[in-house]
Order: sequence, then structure tokens, then C-alpha cells
Amino acid sequence: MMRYLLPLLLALLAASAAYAAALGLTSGVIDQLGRGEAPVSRYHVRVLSASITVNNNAFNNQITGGSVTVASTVPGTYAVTITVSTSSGTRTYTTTVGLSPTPTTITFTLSPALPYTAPGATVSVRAEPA
Amino acid sequence: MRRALLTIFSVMLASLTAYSVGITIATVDPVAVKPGMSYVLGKNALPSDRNEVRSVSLTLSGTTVSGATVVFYKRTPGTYSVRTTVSLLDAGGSTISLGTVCGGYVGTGLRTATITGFSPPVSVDEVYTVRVSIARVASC
Repeated sequence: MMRYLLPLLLALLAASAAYAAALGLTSGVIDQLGRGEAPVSRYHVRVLSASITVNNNAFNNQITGGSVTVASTVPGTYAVTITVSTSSGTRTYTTTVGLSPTPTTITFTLSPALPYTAPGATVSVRAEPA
Repeated sequence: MRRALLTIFSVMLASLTAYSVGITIATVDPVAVKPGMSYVLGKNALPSDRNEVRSVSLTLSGTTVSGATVVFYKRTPGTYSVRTTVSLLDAGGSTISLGTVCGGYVGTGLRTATITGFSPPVSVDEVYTVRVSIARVASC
């Protein structure tokens, strides 16, 4: 019995190794997975403008919100995260929007408002497929 | 016996290999080359220069950044020159292009500075950070 079982086991092992090698070869580059029937799109996010709104014009004012104009080279639905930071802290706003190469304006509010302190504010926009 | 095993092995190898190359993925999310951008808006705290940037908008010619419009709040009163500089930075934080304009401004309130060119020209897809600074200068 063992005389037949051992070669069979070896055959199984060899087949598994061959299968793993074949899978590795075909999936080494993701857009060549399988027969490449699902090419992967690569997107750039373009933020064409950033604007902040403040509660007043005094030097010690606060950022209450703003707007950004965003586009993506690959159309689709994206989860957009807007982060505003100053030396006083950081606020984050998230939303889900459809983006395309045509710019879309996203308005956002910060709660609570963020002190607009020197040397300034950073508005970061990040979009990932939703 | 050996022939039977060889046959089993060959069939298994062929079927598994065929399966592995025949995998089809229905949908694949796009992969980010550049998933976002940042804007740095300057605010000055010198007694003689307490102005702050409120907005910046880039102008494109195709994908090349060809200009920028900066709106700032001129808080420090009087008539004086302000130099507005927009720096375009790459992923490593290095400046890859610059645009600047200098003008005289009066009074207080929202003021606009328009930059009509960047040197060298760069694609917006190379820009990861836009840094905007305004500075009071003795003269343009």
C-alpha cells in the first residue's frame, strides 16, 4: 500500500509546487493577473484650489471651514479626507463624492473651529476609492 | 503503475496551471499614483506684517501649471508692497517650480495677487504640495 501512496503523495506535492509557481508568475504584476482581463487604473488626484473661511478678520481669528476643488484622472466614487492643521491643532473632514477629470468643489466645515495661527495653515486633501 | 502516476501528475499540473492563468478579477479599485495634495497658506506675525493667505487657485494649461490666483487678507494698514510667492513641491518636499508677483496694496481687506507664470513649467501631476507665502517688502 505504502508503495503506491508515497509516489502519489510526491505527485501531489509536485503539483502543488507547480501550481504555486504558476500563480506567482501570473500575479507578479497585478495588472497581468490571469489573462489581464481586468487592467488596473492608476489615478492622480489634482487639487486645483484651496480656500479657508474664518470667523472674523482679527489677527486671532479661527478657521471655520473652507472649500477645495478636486479632480481625479480616473472617474469614480472616492472617499475624500480633508485635513486642516495649524500650530494650534488639526481638524479632519471626510466625505464621499464622485470625482472625474472635471474639477469638483467640496465645501467643508470644521467643528470646533481651528485657530488660524502663524506661520499658517495646511490644507491636505486625500482621495481613495470608496 | 509509474505510467498511471505520471498521468495523474500531468493532469493535475495541467488543470491547476490552466486554473491559475484563467483567474479573472471582476473589479479592481484604481491604484493611487498620487492620492492627494496639500496647500500651505501663509500667515505672518510681524508687527509690520500681519497679513494672511485665505485662498489659492491654480490655473492649468492642459496639465501644466501656468498660473495662480492668491487672495490674502491685508490686515496691516497703509500702502506698501507685498511679494506673493507660490512654490510647487514634489513628493520629497523639494521645490520644483516657482511663481511670484509683487505689487503695491492700499488699506486693509481682501486683496488679490495674480501669478501668470511658473518657472520651470511642471505638470500638476508632479506637484504634491503648494506653498503660498506673502511678505511685505520695501519695494518691488
